[in-house]
Amino acid sequence: MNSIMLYQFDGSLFKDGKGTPLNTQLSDQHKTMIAQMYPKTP
Amino acid sequence: MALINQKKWEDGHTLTCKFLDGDDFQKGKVKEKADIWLDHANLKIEFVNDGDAEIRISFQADAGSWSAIGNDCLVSSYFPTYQPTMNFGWLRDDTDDREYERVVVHEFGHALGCIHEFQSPTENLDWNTDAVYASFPAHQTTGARLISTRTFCRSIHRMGSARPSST
Repeated sequence: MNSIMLYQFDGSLFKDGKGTPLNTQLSDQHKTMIAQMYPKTP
Repeated sequence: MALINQKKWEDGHTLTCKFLDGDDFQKGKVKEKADIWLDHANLKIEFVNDGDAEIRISFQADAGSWSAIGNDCLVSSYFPTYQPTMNFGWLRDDTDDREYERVVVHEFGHALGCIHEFQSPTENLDWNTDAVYASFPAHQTTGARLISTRTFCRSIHRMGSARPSST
């Protein structure tokens, strides 16, 4: 999951063993979502 | 991404921010990276030097990096007005730019009302619950076994230290 709001978790904590990635940037999806939460043109 | 509706700011709100400590380099980096959200949301940030501020930023409150969720920072029983509502426990003058961006965008996400993905009601992370329990000291999991696994997994702030293991 590409999300700046997700911690990097080790794969051993999940059934699929994959873990979560180190996300370092705001994704395009999040830019769109925050724009919906705080719309510039209501 | 999940955002708690009751903790949102009014659309168009100007967030007042104040640094309680930190040097010019640290403050400059935080200002630069906080703006990444503001390019996309109808909110503004105003940094003030004196008086009251909604978001009060420290670099030395403790070793962690954390923030109040949205307007929780206004609740003085949670965050007394002389104390920080956001802390960057490991961002220093020798911290690289990528790490500043990762941590500041994450914490300002909280300040805008966002919660962790693993706390979202729609998250679909398939936890290996035995491994999750095993990662806690025994005295912390005794009680946790009594509540639902999913609730427990959503409440694991402590396990998911935002500090990367490699740096």
